[in-house]
Amino acid sequence: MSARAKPWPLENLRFAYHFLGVTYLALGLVMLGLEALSLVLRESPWGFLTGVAVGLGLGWGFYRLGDPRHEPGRAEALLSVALIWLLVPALGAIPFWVSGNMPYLDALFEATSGFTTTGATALSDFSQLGYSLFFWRSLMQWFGRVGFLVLVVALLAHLAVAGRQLFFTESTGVQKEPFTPRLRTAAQSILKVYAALTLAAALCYWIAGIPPFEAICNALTTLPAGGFSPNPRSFEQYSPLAQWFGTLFMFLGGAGFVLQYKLFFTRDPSPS
Amino acid sequence: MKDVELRVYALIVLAFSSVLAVFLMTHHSQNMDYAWGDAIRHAFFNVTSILTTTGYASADFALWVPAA
Repeated sequence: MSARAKPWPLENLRFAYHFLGVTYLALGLVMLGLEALSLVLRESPWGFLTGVAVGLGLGWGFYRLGDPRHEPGRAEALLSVALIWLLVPALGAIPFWVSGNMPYLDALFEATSGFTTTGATALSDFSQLGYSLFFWRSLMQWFGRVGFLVLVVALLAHLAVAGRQLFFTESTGVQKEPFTPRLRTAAQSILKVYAALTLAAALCYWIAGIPPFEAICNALTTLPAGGFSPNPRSFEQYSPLAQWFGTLFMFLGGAGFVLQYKLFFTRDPSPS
Repeated sequence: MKDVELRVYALIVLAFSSVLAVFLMTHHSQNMDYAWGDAIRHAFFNVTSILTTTGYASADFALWVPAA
């Protein structure tokens, strides 16, 4: 691709800036929604407000620095991914730090655990967080898994495209596309299954007697195999039916999504 | 059930859960007395939760006998 000349290292990261900028702007907008929720519920609005300000502010700055047309090399693509996993939890931790009565380190632990869908918690007293923070805590795991899935697909696509370009260096007429249509379809079908299963889980939990708010939060963390629960006793106090539903959706969340897409959305359940 | 990955995954869950269920039924620990249904439910829930790295719990497993 471009020549080896590197005038200034930071000049060469225009794709990483763009990627980071778009991610921060998106998270800023999500937190804006949660800001509205915290205002409606009359909970401390400052955490999400700070998050929105930092997310949109830095996001806009990175976005201005970045350039989506810049074709990233392998190193820059990998660096972008590494930076995202470091900087997204750093932003996601802000509401817990400001509104959740947690030290920043604990908040960062919680957010990193959330976005990576690890599920370890720094919380000892579950009453210190309001509804909006618990919702954000579950949402982090849901986004974490989406981000992971999309990153894997996009990265594979990108590296595959780069490989193909190396292969066809001298040929003409090969389009530079970030996604091949096939991979785009795969990503879309995965997200469709993921969203549908989450919705189904929330409904089943609710039917099985879990209060609506906890049903939604638990559904958001069941499918990504995250495990954050707004209830300090996890599933212990829920009805036996709810626990069976939990088992079912944990199992589905751990099984391949592409396979389930074929099973639920097409008439052809045979594996390719 | 033609997919090998899914089949192996389901078999592992089934196998581990069955072992744990039998164990919970036969080895009563401190003030824990599981009936058939409860033992099977807790076994499946906790095995699935741990295998998929979800981390939910349906019972206080610190009270189970160590081998469970």
